Amino acid sequence: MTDWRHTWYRLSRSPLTVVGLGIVIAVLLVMIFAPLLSPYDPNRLSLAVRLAPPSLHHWFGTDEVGRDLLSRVIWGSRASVVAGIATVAISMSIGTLIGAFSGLSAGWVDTAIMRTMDILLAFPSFILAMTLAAALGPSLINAIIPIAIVRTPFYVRLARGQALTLRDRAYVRAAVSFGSSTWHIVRRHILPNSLAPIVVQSTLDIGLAILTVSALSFIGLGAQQPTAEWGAMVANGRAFFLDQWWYPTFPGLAILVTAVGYNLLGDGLREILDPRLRGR
Amino acid sequence: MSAEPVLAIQDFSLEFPTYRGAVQALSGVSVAVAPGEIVALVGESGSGKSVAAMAAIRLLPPKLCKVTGGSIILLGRNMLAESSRSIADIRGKLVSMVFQEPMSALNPTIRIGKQITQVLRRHETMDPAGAADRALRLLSEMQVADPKRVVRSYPFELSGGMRQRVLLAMAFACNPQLLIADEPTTALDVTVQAQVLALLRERAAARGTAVLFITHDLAVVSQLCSRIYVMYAGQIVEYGATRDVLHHSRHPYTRALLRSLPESGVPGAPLRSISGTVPSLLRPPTGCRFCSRCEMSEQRCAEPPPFIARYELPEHRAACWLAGEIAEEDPCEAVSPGSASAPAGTAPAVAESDAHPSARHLVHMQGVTVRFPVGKNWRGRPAMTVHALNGIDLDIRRGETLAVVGESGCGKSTLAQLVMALLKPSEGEVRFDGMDLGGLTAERLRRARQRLQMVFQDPQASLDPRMPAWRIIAEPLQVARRLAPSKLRRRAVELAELVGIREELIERYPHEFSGGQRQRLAIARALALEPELLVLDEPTSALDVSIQAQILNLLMELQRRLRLTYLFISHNVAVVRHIADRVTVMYLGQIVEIGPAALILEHPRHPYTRQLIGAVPRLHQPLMGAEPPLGEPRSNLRLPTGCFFRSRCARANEGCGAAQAMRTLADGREVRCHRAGDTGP
Amino acid sequence: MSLLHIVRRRLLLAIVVVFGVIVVTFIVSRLIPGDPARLMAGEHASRETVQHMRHVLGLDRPLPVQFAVYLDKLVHGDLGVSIRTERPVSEDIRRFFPATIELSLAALLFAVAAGVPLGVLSAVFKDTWVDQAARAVSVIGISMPAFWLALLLLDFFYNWLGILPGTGRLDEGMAAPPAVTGMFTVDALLAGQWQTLRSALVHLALPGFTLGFVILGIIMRQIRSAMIEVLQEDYIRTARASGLSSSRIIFGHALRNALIPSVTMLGLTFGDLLYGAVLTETIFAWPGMGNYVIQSISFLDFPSIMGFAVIASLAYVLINLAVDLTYMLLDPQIREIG
Repeated sequence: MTDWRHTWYRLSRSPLTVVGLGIVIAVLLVMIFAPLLSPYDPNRLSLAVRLAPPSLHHWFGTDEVGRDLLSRVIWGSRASVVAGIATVAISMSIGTLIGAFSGLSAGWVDTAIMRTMDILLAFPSFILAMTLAAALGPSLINAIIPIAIVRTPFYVRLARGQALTLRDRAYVRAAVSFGSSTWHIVRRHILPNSLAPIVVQSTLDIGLAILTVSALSFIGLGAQQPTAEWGAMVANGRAFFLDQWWYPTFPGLAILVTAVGYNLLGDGLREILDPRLRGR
Repeated sequence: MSAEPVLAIQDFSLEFPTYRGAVQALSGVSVAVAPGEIVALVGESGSGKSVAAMAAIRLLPPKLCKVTGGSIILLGRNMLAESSRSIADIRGKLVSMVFQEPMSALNPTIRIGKQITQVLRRHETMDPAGAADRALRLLSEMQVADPKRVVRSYPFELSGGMRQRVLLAMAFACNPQLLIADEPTTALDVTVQAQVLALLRERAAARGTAVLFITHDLAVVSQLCSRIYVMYAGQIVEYGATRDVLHHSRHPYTRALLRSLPESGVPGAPLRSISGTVPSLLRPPTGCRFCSRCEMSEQRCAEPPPFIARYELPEHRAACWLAGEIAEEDPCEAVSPGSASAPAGTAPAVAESDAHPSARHLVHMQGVTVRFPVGKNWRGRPAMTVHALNGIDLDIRRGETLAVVGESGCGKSTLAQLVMALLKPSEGEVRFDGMDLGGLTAERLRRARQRLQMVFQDPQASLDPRMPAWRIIAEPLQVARRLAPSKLRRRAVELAELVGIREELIERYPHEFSGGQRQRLAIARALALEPELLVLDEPTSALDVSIQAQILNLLMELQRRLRLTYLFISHNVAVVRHIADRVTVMYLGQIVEIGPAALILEHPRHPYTRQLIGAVPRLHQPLMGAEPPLGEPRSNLRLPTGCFFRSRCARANEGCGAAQAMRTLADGREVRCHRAGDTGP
Repeated sequence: MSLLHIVRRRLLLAIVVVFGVIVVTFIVSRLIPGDPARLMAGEHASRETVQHMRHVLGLDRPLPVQFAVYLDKLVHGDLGVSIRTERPVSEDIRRFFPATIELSLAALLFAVAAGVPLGVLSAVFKDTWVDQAARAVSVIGISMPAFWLALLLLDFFYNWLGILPGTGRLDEGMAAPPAVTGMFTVDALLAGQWQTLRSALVHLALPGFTLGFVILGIIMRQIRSAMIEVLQEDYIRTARASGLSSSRIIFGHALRNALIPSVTMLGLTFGDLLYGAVLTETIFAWPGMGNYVIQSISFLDFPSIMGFAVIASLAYVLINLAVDLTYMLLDPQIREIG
């Protein structure tokens, strides 16, 4: 239904958004074609070349056991990005359904759900994620679950807000007047018309999730050795930082660039999608 | 024009660049306003009238538009060449503007007094005390009661009419030479509109301010403005003295527009609407832009027509090749047989039998009261109650069109929801075809609901933007009858044809249709389940006049063919006069007068109805000499004792302290006023 | 709605939430792997000793009773004893929190002082290069892994240029000012110790900037979108039509209306500040709660982790409550009705 010409026109007016889109596509491609792109096996030890600076053989240098950092960064995209996307996919789908249902139900169901969300939201999100991850035990999967739990209330609130707004729209009232069931209204009217803000929020959240996953790994709660993951690599490289500047720099740069890409794209999508809904 | 014009827009052209090309919003527009005169700029939506006004004071964002020709001279200053600094000096001081929506035009976080004094101190050197004093005086001048309280208030504490007065006070504050008013009363109730228009005229005259009045309402123009410019598709098509243009119009568009007004038609008969739609301004036709819809077009019209003056009146010109040949008669007179002598009581041929009332009537309401608790006090109990409906007794007869007329807060929307069984009354009963709606089981209610359908005011909001037209139309069938998709589509095609939408269009999405077409789709959807009663909530209020005529014709035809009953809610008295059999007038949740349409609307008896009808601007007659409405509308949070209208009635006496009951008068109407039969003061 | 009613509702909500927070932390603390009794008793303790420890710690009682004990201890400020430092957790918190507060306040001040003007500029000059540049800064701030920025800045300003110190809150060997608030800058100011003040400020610079940079991005984005929305409102058009000057419109009408709803966001930034503190303090060896928690994690010192979680969450709830109440006072539509 989207008017593609119009979307393309808006996109071209905002160079930052195009940059974001480019970065996201590039990272996804790197992630998918990691085996082809990576020059070495990321776990291949080679003590002879440990802590080597960037060179033609090793563009990003090597770490303390001689593993090629470029390969580890490339493979690290799988850990970080997949973790980020998985987190968002979980929290978005669960949160949206709960929120839409809550918004339409009103009454004590709505109140109960919202109070529970309020309690979850009362925790500073990272602290809660960190605590849960610590309790569950350090591993990449055990980092995904807490982050997903912590982000879900945002989607619940968002979807509920959409449901409340749309509930008063004339076409929803019309649907009520000829006897539609709540499920019919959610499926046919609420969800399709709520897509825009949810898409925007998810895109922005992927960036945030990637940052959080790498932060958890940095403090030791996420990916464990020998998994190549950007945050963990920065943590490892920290000890060698003064003399081997390249070690933590490149993985951190990867985090930054990827997060920038998703944030630019998300911001741009918001600009494109929202004002249109308001009708110019 | 003897003196130097205050505003001279000369051959002005403006376009909006879009990704599809440039929209030619204005093409060669010339408007002149002399000192002290009130000039109207009239047109339907898309004509460019608001664009022209905003361009005159350079309010359009410079990145969004491009001037392609012409000039705008305001009091000797070239508005297109001035720096933004000096434009800001000019705005508010030499020229000011008021807009359509008073509800959102004031900053909600700043008190009224400060918003006025800001404007004063911007343009004149004053100390805060002097400015505050001036602000108070301005508010009194704008007939604001209790200016001291208003000055301390925030905008959300004031009504729409009050806010518009505040905005007028700000506009007049520095004594501008020109006031541009863009549909300033369109969003207000009729009686409030009458007050604000009278105020505007009086203040402008007293201060010698010229006014450029932008509107689509020709009746208002005939009451207020001395000269008029008619716009169509970004061009001026006719201009001259108001009387000349409205009674002896020379341009086919003006004539067609006047003919499509409900007041120009015979009640119950089809209106003469304009076929077709406004041409796209992306690539406008090179010749006359009205050509494709004009009944009189010829070969010549492919060339852009010049302005041809009337023989003895060079001030009255029309841009049409055939201007000199158009008949002299008044376009409105030709069709209507003289509205004043229409027969009273044009009720349909529904026999007034003595059969049991509730079976004869499709809807029967008795003693209905609806209350809503609102807000919470500190203990969690409801702080206030909205008394939406207070003791309604109403019948809707089969096959008739019953109109409900009233201003905001009268309860007409609540009444609509009640009839649609979307609400339960707090007291009283609502019967549909004899069945008590409150006592039905969920299943029977669901089935009863299919016989009642509703058409909403805003065609854009009532259609889901993400569904194609045929799905929208067929949705009721999908939900209620569970038809197979192929059958759904077939039925959708049938319904679309019924309302005049061609089959090839039904795959499109709502945003690809015009406003009138969307309303047709909404009507088609409402007819999907073959209802008996259609509740129409201001169905044409959001539409242009010429489109309104089409929709009204459609509604009347559908009623005849499908034997529908209509509950028609509207604030537009002319529309009601045209389409309704009976009218009921509501005020503060009560019915104050009910009876045959012609009778009530031509010869109102209840003081409120008289004020209401009297406040409606008419095209060809002066205002009905009504008593001016007193004060502000009352709130329905705390009901008055006795007659609800007492505090605003010019004819109140001691008897009004008792609660008023409905009385039947000799001519068949019912009125809630003990003085309705009196002829004295 | 009555203002009192709204305030009452908000307070009730806060109480419910606080209770919920305590319940959740209790549940999480019981999820922790490993047997606290055994940990306390030591590796080679006998079975009886472990049983005895379990009894002493109250772990053999039913769950609701344990919760009641937990609640009771909380109310009395007893958060348990840290396995690592062997001090009561509450004492550790009292010792280390002021440093984090000092760092957070410095970061917040910087972020607001830079973020609000940038956000306004970005909105007013929307879609020009000014906007694009400012948005680039904002996006980089939001996307920045704080620990990485900390490393880079440390390397550049300390290693390379050597103009800023790399660790600690004061110069080597310098004594802390007499403790009033626990924040060295404020305390030094109060005591008139100018050398100490200077040293504290210089040490605060890098960590404060690092932490503030991320918050800057968040604030800027919020201000920008609020401003853009407000600038499209009808009352701005009225102000323009009245001839008010651009600066009056931007600051007197638009910014003030954009700031009011943005106040609620301030409460949320406290969460981000804590998050950032956890990540940056360790790089700069800043002796605050963040550093403490990271060390606790690597030690698997659960009493201190849980204690930190409880205190941080309670503080977060209270700050957001205060912010919400302030917002209610600022918004005339809510304030005046009451």
